[in-house]
Amino acid sequence: MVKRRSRVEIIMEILEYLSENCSKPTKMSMALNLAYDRLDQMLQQLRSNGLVTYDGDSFCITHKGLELLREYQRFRKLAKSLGIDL
Amino acid sequence: MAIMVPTRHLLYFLIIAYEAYILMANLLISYYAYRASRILSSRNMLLLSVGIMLFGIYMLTNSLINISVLAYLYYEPARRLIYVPPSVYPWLIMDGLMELASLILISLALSLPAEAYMLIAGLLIMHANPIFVIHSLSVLSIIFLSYICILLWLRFSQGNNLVMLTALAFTLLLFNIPVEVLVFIVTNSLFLELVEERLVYSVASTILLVNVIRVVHYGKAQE
Repeated sequence: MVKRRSRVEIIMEILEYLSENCSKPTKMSMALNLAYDRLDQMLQQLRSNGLVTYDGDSFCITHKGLELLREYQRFRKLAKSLGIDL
Repeated sequence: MAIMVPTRHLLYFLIIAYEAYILMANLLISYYAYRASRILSSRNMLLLSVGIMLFGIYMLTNSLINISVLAYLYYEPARRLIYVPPSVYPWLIMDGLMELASLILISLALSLPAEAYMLIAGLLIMHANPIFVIHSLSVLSIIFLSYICILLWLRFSQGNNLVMLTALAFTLLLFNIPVEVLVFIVTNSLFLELVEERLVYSVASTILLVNVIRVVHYGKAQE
């Protein structure tokens, strides 16, 4: 059975995807296997928190977004090293 | 085994110093686990954080109780049996409960099966005798510690290499139980037994702390 992704996991997947390249929402929706409406809602939230920017065509990750992503990755690794399932 | 007065005092100091170190190490690990629980929005990490903090506090109270027993032995060195007055029972029960609670929280964080609650409730309800409760708390703690070790090594065998140091730390705590008994049988000294226990606990706490720091600050661990 495929494990259902939590909201935090989806947000981090979006940031991880954007950390490689800026992207259009439609492309992201397919790559992340996420409904367009839901993705759009999350992107707006990330934008209002200053984690991503939008230039009218594509979304890009900000420095603040990159920092949050790195912090998340470090602590995810910590959880794994302590034997915790997320 | 004859221990000279300064050595005995030095041992008291060492035990307290170790205790302070173990408590500090546990609080630090707990702090990192708490930060992780906030960032990852993980309930399991929060349980682990509280569990590890409680374990550090348990170690401190355990030492305080044992120090009074050792002070008694200092004035009565010929005694082989220690009379523990009933007034100390509530402290021993509280100490055992704290140890058990911390191990249950850690087990819960690692996904504890629901059947375990039945076992705890069953054993504790069976008798209201304080001595029985004290002993059953110790037995339950060993069971939970064994469960944690098995689970961690299973995760390691399933390909999670990062978990090795954590599994090693908890296994040390488990192996401390027979070693502790062995030290007491061989040396007949509660002092040395207590020192051995503190040594093992400080090594285990150090392993956990080093593991946490290298992952969080240096990103050394490889997946």
